Amino acid sequence: MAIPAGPWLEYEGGTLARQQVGLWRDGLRRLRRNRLALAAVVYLGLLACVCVVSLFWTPYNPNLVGACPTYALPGTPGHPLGCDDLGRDLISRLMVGSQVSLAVGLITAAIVVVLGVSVGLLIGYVRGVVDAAFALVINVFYGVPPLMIAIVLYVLLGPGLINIIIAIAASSWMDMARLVRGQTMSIREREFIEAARAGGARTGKILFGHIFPNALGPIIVQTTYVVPAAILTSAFFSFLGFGVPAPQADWGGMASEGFSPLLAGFDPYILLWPAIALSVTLLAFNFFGDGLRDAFDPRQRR
Amino acid sequence: MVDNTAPANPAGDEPSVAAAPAEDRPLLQVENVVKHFPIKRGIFFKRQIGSVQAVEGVSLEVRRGETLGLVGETGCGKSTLARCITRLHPLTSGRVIFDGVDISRLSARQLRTHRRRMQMIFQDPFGSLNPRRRVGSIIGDPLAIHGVADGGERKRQVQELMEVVGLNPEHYNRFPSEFSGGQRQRIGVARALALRPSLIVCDEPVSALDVSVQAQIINLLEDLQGEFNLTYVFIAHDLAVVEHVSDRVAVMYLGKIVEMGETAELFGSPRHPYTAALLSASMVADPEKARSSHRVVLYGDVPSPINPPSGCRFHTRCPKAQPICSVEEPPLRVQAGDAVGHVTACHFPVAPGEQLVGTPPAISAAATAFAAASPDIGEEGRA
Repeated sequence: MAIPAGPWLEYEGGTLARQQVGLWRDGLRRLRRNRLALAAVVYLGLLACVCVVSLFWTPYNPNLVGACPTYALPGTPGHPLGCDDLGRDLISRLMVGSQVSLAVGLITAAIVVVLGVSVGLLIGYVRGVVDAAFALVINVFYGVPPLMIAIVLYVLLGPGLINIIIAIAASSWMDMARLVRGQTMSIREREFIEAARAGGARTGKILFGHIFPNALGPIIVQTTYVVPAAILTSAFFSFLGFGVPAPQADWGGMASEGFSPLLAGFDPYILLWPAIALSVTLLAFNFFGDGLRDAFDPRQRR
Repeated sequence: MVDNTAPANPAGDEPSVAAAPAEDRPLLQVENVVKHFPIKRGIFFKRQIGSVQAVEGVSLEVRRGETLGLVGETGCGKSTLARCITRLHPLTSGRVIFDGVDISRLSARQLRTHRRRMQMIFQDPFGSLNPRRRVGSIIGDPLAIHGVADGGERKRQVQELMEVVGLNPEHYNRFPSEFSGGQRQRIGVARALALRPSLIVCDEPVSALDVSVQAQIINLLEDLQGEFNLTYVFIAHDLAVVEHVSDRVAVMYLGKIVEMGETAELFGSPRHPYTAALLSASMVADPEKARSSHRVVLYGDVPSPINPPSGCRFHTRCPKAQPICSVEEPPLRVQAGDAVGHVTACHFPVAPGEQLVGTPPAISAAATAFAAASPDIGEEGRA
């Protein structure tokens, strides 16, 4: 049967598909529509500015004992948030404390992404024995509580930021690995992967050039959940005393310092400020994460 | 080209293959290719509990410059065979000899040099293009991987290819989602062409497309065949398309080739009952003709490739089946009165002009009972 051809068939020049759906442009467009996420972005931007400023300037030296009267209440001239039991300026300490929180959150997230994505891509693509072996490793890691790792590292290496980061990363990379593994297993069956193999692409190229970009949405979303979880866990460690060494201000440690004055009935604000900062930051990250999930993860798109 | 054979045939177990003059030699020889997909249970201690026998001993040859059509129902192993030919699947056994080189046992590294000359066009124009890559890199990737061209030269070559397949070269930086189905398939064609292959395996390249766009892509493929001296293995389930494009046609049923021959001859006088049924099921545009044409209705369903029927695999549905069919497997051979290239695997081939009667298979009591229990089955038939 001859199939007729002719100029009347050439209607195909126009673009029938919806306009460009590049990951970033599309995601940002959706994010902009989400007011809560937008507010979260604004807050996090401010927090980042405060963090950077505090590296160079704070109203007072945050570790200077006796900078102001002990237990000065909020509103004391020159000390808007008041002072703690050692007479240290609380707003200065709160500013500096953001450094620890953001550092822990972001560095942990970076480690989790690198480790989780690499492992997930590998076991999702290779499957078989490697997959089964890593499933075992992952389950073992799930069984180890982060606090235990933190305590062991504290005992072995002494207090330090690195220990906290290692402890948290070691207990949160598995979710990322599992997520990426699942994504990889589904993406590797798609035809464009076969097309890439037919074109002679090597495994590395397929993993990072073809599978990874297609799994990027869920990875970004998962990352935004790792950050607040890491911040909360690190604050918790500091509260328990396994955190950063003493004079360094961080929100968990400040909350801990404010705990006994609160019980003694002196000054609830010492505990209140870091608690508020922590809560608002966690909320902001979570709203931001939700916004990103709506923007990037098509399966959960409303 | 003969030099290529030396490193890839270290055992020298088939000197006759390499010795044939390059021009007369078939471009592609498929010998007894078997592909089983194991069905496994367990995680650490996997045991095989069965296998899907997707391709079961297929042999065929494709000559330079011709188009071999491969037809059969969904699930008969056409696409698996295509992926075995291009070594996207490892073979269970058998050999694939491409231009004198046995590529069925080559390592990934050795294979890469041969992949350049053997490309594939995929069925799904949406699934076969990475949605996160721009057209320029989709088409240009093979050039980069094989170190053919870099930078500005690569861009120039890609845009040239885009022009050849009828795309606007200015759309170099667009994403696949910005194109229609037909345009996407053109991108797939350009990608397959990029390395100037000799053989292109087209795995149902038009079945996902609109009928009018199908014609464009088929015409494009035909034009390119002349222009670039291409050889096609063309897989389809649309018989009209296959008849239009193919020089020769092979009909597959449940992992085996049941009939193979020149297109006109096979379509004119099919010898295998399955081919006859398949052809009678194809649409005829002329209603007068359609009313007068005889329709062979097959009963039952395609049996499971996990546990295929004994003997001739078609015997459970064949209107001509005799007891021997379930016992002895008929070889693929030239039947009396046929041309040399026309082979049929059947004990009781259809005589020219014979009308097959669409009755339930003679020897399958179960199938008879099944058909009796549900009289409407087979009305629509399958093609």
